[in-house]
Amino acid sequence: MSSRMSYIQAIREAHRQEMGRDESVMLLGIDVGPLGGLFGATRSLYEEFGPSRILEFPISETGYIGAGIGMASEGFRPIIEIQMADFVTVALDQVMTVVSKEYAVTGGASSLPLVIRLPYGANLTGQGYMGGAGPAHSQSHEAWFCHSPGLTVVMPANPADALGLLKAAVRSPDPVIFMEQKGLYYAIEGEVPDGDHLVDIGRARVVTEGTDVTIVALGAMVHVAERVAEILAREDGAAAEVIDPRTLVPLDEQAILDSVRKTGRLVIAHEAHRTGGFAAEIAAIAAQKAFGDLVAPVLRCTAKDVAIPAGAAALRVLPGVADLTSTVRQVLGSAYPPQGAGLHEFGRASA
Amino acid sequence: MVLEELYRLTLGSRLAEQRITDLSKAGEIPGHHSGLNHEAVGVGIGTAVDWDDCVQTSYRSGAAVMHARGGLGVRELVLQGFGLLPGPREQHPGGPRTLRSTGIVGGQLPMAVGVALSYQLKRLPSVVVAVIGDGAASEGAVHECMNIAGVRRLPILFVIENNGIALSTLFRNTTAASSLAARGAGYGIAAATVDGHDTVAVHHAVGDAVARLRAGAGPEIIEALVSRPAEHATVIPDVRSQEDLDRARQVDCVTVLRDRLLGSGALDAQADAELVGSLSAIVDAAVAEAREARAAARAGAASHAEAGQVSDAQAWRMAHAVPPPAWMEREALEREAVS
Repeated sequence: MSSRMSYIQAIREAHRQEMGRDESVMLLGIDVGPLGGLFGATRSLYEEFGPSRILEFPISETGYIGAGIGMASEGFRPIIEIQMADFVTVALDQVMTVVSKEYAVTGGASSLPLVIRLPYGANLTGQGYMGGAGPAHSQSHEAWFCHSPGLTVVMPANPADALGLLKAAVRSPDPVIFMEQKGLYYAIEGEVPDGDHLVDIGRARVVTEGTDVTIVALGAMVHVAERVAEILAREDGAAAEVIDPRTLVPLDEQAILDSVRKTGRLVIAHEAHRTGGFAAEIAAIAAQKAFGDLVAPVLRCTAKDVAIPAGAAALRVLPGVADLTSTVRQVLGSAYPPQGAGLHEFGRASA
Repeated sequence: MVLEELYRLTLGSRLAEQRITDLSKAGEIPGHHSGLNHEAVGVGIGTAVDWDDCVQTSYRSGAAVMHARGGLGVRELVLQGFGLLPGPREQHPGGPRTLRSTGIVGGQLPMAVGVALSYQLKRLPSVVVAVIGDGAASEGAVHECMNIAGVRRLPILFVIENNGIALSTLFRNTTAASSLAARGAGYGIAAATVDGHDTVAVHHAVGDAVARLRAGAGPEIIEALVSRPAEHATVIPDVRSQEDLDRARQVDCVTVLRDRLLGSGALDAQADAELVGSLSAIVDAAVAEAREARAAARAGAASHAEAGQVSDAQAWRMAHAVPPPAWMEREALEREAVS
């Protein structure tokens, strides 16, 4: 049995289930009381659990993430909502110096079972308002947290995974960065299994099976990649395999490598900027562990390296269906070694 | 607590701190943030809290933990200086609750607020005493913590050791206000200033504040005025003017207490010399023990360079409570098989 719900309803339901199951689970945030959070993710929870379980703070990200750290060390399991992922930047000392390092610097004597929820990104779904909310309200910072050892980083793309991964994150003994794509909140609906639905942290999902090219897509780009796979099947007769890693740390390398060994071609898509983005990490893993299976260079489809403009202009720097389609076609149209051109020429002929 | 005991603890902390500072300057111990002349603050706090209270010290007030009831002694302070025991802000098994620092001044304070919030949520009678310096008081995290503690009426006492200098930057160049206790008004928090060279004054001020906190009266700030006679750290030169240095060395917290005891007749010169002798013997023995333990540890272990890097799976285990993913374990085994 399952229920149909939106991405944001699934997140709300995960809170309700976990807070109902375990009274040490607490929600910390700004405006998470009667309002139910900036986007309404925790709406109605305050009526159900009250101010002893839902703790509202002043606009002090450093202060209340730190409060969550102290609470986790005292046996609570805090879920910390940051209003938008962009606002965690003022509290990175807490996340990167304290949270990520706690287990290592205490020699395993102490771990911090807390979840930091980061609503990130822009709407890329094609449903409703498309575009950015300005340079400081549209960013995707997942790579930063992957670069701070000790953190678990999850990134659900659909309601079932949002619910299952958030519930698993709450129960993890390690701190979890929960990257929730705010453009999906109200735009995406899906079936969510009833009962205690948990999604294993560290397990990827094969979204669409295919044999010609692997598309590893993160967050909202999963939905873009699904549409691109349909276009390629219809217009090119090509079968793309779309993989949603769901968790970035620990990454399900096995699932990605199995697919790349089958298809020989790899494109990675995320809405974060290109330089230093997580796509580079996946490309490096493919180069290191599946080099002999690759028949074409690995390409990335990402946001451009520039601040994300407000409004519809954001779509000029964010990746979309057209960009990903053409990137995959470049990879499909090439063979190694490229015909009639040096390697450095790759990409020009078909671009 | 009797005056003689506070003197003994302050003096013991001094002798340990002085030796560690000297050994660090001589190169036997890596750079040390000397807590010389900050002992009164640590001892005053440590003797005023209960076993179940939580103490988070700054790097100059290690003595706070040492004398938290049933806590550590002179020997342990020396061993900590050698890196052979968890530091003063680490949890000691079976010891009183302490909170670690993070290496970034001010950044450790939010977790102390979280512990105080936990005590309040659990309706425990315990309190938190968190120590920062005047340098940390310029960090934004400190502002957020005091504001949150004030609005939630948390059982936390902020002790600011104001020694008038942040590394090399004088207090008058970091803070326009003449007092850090004055900040209390802005947060709706009671605040007071205490002579941080006087163990007895600190002990009573902290004890009274802790009693009010336990009764639910809300957070407080105590600004303890101290002075730093030595460098910020033993490896960093002191660039203060002679005039500023002289001023910083004018009052010594051990001398303050000793003179009071000698003046009242509670202590005579001979008894004082015997006390110095017996405490110095503990320090000497601890230094010998530490040297032996360190030599044994170094002789027994292959150097890190020889041992090479840990595997990815081992690194994962060092960083996470959950085990590494299966593929990572498998790769580590395969690599081992190859080599």
